[in-house]
Amino acid sequence: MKIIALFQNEKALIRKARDGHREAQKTLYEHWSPKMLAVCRRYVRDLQHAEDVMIEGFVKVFENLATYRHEGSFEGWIRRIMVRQSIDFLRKRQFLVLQEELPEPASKPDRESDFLELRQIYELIDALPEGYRTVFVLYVVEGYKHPEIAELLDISVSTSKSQLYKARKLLQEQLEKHQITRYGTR
Amino acid sequence: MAPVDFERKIKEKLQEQEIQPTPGAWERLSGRLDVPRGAGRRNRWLPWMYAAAACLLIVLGIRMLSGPGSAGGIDPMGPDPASGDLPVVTAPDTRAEDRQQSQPAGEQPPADALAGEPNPEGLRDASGSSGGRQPSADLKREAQLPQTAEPGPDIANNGVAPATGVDTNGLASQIDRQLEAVLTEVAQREQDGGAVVTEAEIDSLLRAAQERIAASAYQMPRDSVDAQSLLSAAESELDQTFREELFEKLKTGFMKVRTAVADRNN
Repeated sequence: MKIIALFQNEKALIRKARDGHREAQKTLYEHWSPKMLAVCRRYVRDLQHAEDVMIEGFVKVFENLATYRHEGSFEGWIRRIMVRQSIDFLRKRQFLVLQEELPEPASKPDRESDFLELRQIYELIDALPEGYRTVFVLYVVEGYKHPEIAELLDISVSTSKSQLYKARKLLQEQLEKHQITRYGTR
Repeated sequence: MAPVDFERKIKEKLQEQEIQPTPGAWERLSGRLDVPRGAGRRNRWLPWMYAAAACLLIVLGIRMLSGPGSAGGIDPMGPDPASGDLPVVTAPDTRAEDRQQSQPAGEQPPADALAGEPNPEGLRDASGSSGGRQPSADLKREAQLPQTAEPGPDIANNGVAPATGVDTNGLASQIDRQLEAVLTEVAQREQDGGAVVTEAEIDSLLRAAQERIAASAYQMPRDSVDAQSLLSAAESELDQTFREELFEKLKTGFMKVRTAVADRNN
């Protein structure tokens, strides 16, 4: 009921938030922040950093609400801002962190469950090198196409494809190592 | 499991996921939003404003240092040199002495006023016509100064002649002399030959006169050099060289065409 009410009043809320109404901004934040923190977490390994990125993203959301035309979904609009913010963070961090810490190997997944637990998925994805993981999440989870990924990451389309291929191959190796399932590549 | 299924399931699981932010996150975000929007934007313009100001300063500095009005040269925007209204640069203390000499005894300022101010005129110049003095009186005094100042060494430059100083009266008389010489030459040619002197001949006479003026102008007395005259001389030389080169090229081209036409006819 609460969600339905929110969606009915979404336009009014956005308008108020755009005009600087703090309560409206807080309502929007409370509704979307859990999902957006999860979006940021997919790109940024550390949860604290992911939260920082999300906050920066929300600052941009509220500053640029006037440019939102109500043409696409509001969630999609915020999500794109969060993805861009996360990628910006990763780009900047490459200059700050000279030696990236090696991620711990993925733990052995629970064989009884029909599919991997969320924690195990994260372990698998986090074990991928940063470039592979970013392209994999953008393509598989967010549904971006290769030309869009290429533009977003400032790489060529073929690089995007090869990064996805390598990410899939690494994931397959991880899964085969744990004898969980067979993960082919397309 | 098929790869498509595997990836679809990963997508579903991840898209369903929600992570609650820490309780202080909204306060942090709220604190960021409290910062006025204009502040960030102003900061974005700040480097550009600094750059523009620096450029302006550099341009002004270059103009002041290299302009013809610098270091005692002639200000192109200043009064007409021929009118005799050129400001004479004199040292403040000399002017003070002159003023004391030229002023009537009743108008002399108190001795302690002058003793307390080592450079009273300079101060007056810096602060405009302040100090309770009438601007008209100052203007009168300024007008009197060139007449009272002796043509001795230039004390404003510590007795050293300005590097690019120009004797405008001498230059004007030189120009007049050269013009008269050109006119005499033209008149004489017309008398001798009986024919009208062509424009090209007058042009060449004028150019020769210009070169003579430039040559004499940049050999100024007291070993000073006029940059403007040097520049005009260099320009005329370059112009001449360019013209000669152009004629040479045209001549060569014409010869080639003529040879080609002759070859074809043969």
